[in-house]
Amino acid sequence: MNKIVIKVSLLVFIFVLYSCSSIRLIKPIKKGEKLITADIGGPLVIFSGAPIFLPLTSIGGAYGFTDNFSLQTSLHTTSLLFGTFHMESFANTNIKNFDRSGFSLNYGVYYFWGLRENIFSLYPAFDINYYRHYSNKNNYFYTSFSSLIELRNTKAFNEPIKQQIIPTLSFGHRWLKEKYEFGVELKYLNFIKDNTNIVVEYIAPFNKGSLGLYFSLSKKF
Amino acid sequence: MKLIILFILFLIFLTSCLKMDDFLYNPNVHPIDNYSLHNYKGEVDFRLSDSLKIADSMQHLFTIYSNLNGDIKRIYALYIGDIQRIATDTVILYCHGNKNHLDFYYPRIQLLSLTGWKHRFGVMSFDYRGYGLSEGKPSEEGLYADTEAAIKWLKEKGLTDDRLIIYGFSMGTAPATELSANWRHLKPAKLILEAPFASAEVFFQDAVGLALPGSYVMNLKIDNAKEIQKIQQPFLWIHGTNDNFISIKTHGEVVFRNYKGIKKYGLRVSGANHSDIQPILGFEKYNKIIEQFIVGNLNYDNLIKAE
Repeated sequence: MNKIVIKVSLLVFIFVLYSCSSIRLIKPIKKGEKLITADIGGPLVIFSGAPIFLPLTSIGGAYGFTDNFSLQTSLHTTSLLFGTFHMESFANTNIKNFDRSGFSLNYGVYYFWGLRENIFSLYPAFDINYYRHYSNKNNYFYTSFSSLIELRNTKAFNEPIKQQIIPTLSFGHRWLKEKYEFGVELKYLNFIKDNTNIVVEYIAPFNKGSLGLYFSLSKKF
Repeated sequence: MKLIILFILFLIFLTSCLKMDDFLYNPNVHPIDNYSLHNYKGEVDFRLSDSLKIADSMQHLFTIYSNLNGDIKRIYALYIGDIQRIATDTVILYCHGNKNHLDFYYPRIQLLSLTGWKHRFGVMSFDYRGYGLSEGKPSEEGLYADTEAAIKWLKEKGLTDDRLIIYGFSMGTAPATELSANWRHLKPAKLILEAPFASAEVFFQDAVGLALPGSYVMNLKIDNAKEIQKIQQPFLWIHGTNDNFISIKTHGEVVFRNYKGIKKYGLRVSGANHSDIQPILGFEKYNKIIEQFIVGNLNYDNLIKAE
């Protein structure tokens, strides 16, 4: 088989999936505030000897129900091009506030619906975030630990699934303006999974998981 | 908001257009204007020395017609051996991988023609539709139709079930397995799979790390690990332990384990990757193993046997 062609094909899909790790809310937005967000990003891989990332997109929105509870939903547009309705919905809430920093929690689900064969998949997930403002009181750095949970026990041909939890570490920064918000995030996806002897050559330390780079632009209403 | 809804509806409309299936075939990495076979100077996985060159009189390049539900295409085929002896010879039908054409796979086909001794077995291969100079566009059903066209040609030349050995490499393991399990013109006597993949779905699940259905992105039904369960004929599986493309663990071993027929042999080639099993194993040793499997007395130290 030709490796390059297969790799291109898989990369497209993998980026679609990993772009499901789009940039989420780190802090709840204000009560009654609305946010529309466009994301672009994916894991870094070696392709034809060079490191690349194939940017795929998602669009979404968020709404602040209270000052401490927001809901965010995203639609992964590239997945839709392949006939898979792929969304994620997450709640965000603060769990501990300090003067310039705090902890927050995201919890929610990814869901996939294969439009052609009508197959549904669901993955619960949660993130624990720590953020810290610095001299500019609006902008902040953050780090997150995320876990996506595989509910199935077996994969193709009843092979047992050995890893039920897919962890991700993220480091990012948000720039907040009056009407806009811009975010950039570096993720270390599934950092415990061996990434050798598969079609895709991920870029990651110790041949584990994959590093990914993500960008987001949001407009407030 | 209206714009967003319109955009989403547009994307849903596009969902009828995109699937990954076509990406799986790559017939023209190095296009050719004519077949050069032994004289091909382009990229190959390995080459054999000139001393092993096949005489022109024993090498036949010709076309056959392949009928896929009325879509008839002229495809190119190669037979190494004496065509007049097909009625009495044992023939290896070689189904190649998804890259390039007969010129690229010629050293592999040539090596098979040296099994036992030169021309002990006839060897036939062909370019699937859309590959090399064959007409048409590749498709999964096309792989099966074209392989069946080759089998039909062999049958017309006098080949019988008991003398047909089918050999699939990489993507070629799909038609080899399919036509051993669901045979039409001839029932192959034995099956050899080199670096087989379990299914297209396993590719995705390996790479993504989630048990997502393959149907999310493709219509391909290729499923060697399922079809192999129907096969009773003796089966030889060969796979490189360092295959970084089709994993021996998640693909090859699943296919081997799922075989429930009368006799199976497995050969894990230590240190070999996807495309270098023959040179890593050694050409002579490779030929010996193929010969012994065909004649029915396979005996190799590192072999996994189940009889």
